[in-house]
Amino acid sequence: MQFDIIEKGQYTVIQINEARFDAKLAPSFREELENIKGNIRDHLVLDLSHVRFMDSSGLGAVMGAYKMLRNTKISIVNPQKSILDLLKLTRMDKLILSHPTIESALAATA
Amino acid sequence: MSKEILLVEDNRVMQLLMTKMLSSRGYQVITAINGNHALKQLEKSPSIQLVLSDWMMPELNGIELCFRLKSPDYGRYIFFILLSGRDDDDSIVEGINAGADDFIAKETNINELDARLKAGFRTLELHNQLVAKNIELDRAYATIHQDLDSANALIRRMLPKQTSFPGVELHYTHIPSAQIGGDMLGCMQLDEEHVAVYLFDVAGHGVASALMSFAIQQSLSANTGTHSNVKRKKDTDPFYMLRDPSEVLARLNQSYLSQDNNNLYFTMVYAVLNIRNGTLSYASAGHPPMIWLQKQQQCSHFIEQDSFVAGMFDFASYKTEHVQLHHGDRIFLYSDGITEAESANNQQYSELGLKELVQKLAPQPINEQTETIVSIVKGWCGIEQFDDDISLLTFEWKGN
Repeated sequence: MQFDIIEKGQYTVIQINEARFDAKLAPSFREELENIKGNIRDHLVLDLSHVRFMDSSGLGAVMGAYKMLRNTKISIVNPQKSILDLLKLTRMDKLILSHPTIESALAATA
Repeated sequence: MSKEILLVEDNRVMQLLMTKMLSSRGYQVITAINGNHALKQLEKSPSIQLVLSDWMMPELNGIELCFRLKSPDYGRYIFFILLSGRDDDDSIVEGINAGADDFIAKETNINELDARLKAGFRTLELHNQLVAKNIELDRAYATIHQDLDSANALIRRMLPKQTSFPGVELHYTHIPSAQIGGDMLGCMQLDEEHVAVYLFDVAGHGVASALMSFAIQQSLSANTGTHSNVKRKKDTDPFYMLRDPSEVLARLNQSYLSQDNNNLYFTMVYAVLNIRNGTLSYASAGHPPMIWLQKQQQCSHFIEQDSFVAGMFDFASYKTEHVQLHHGDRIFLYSDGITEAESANNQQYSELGLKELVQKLAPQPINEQTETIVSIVKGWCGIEQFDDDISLLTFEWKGN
């Protein structure tokens, strides 16, 4: 499975199970998000623990999620350094906060 | 499809008997008396695809005929049924090895024979549909390929032709990937004192990205007159003002804001060099840092600026910053195609790697340096064709 989706009331976690979040994965991520967007409530958590590399298409998919879910808080969990650097370069770190664990991402909501 | 069968049988009585039986079930039967004759009949009737053949025959027997018709050189797909009184295991193995699709004992009753023939025609039908679809796909692919080639040629024509300006020498390499992408770069003299240099990368590959890159290039290069994306009208002499790099990016951002359903965006660096005093003003939209090679110190630095990508957010704003060049200093603009190029063991060349390479190659003349960089990165990947667009633009301030 490319993604695991956990829907738990107020929050939804998408865990990306691929090492590369790139042009090959981005379309299915968008499709998946399109499918579940009606169920997403207050908080979408993207678990990027397994992602080693994110290219401009992967970044585009994340920015697309931000635009699609205007009223939903989005957090990123456990991004590797190269991804943190990319988020910082494009100032996405100002729009989507990163957290070391899912628990801390959820605690920040409260 | 027609229900033509080639019946290969050396025994005239048997041949007549079977022809009658098959005709009564609506099959159109063509006959041959041995393998050689069968080959001739097939040549005469190019639409036959089902062969029902006896095993033992003079000249060319059933197995040999099957072997010929099933060889990859035979230009037609044939469903081959071996007909025989023998049904011992060894001969069946021999038949399968020769490529036979089915076996029918001669004494089989007409109902079973008919059912097996129908199954054969179903297989043929499927095969023929598949072949027809493949031909269609090949044609479509050829068309797309041709379109991409023309698009590539157009993109090449958008690249700057003038690379030498008073006080500035410029060199670039631009290699679009196989599927064409959205990298583009340019330079232009804005007035006697200023030269603009820029590079942008539309995310993704293919026609959509290339079209967007084409459009952006047009909006930038159309700077005739006093009002454009890079200049603004003014009431007093010289009746124009150069727009700040941040303003240029902000205007492009607004012009190319993407719709919600597509995530097309681009990253860009736009820089203006004052060719008299060497001041470089620049703004970045989520683009990888420029590399600044200082000639005197022989060392390279990043010129970094964190900023939103362009074409994505209506609230994005950009800032202009300045650095002071000394003569002989070089600035490198590039897209992530170089820094994300991967070696066989999945290591990326990285921005740091590129910065170090720039410093190492500092003694080379500017045109040699860009080319050496690209060929070193290519060698490091061990490939001939990059996965992504590669663009690298370097300019050197010659000073006064």
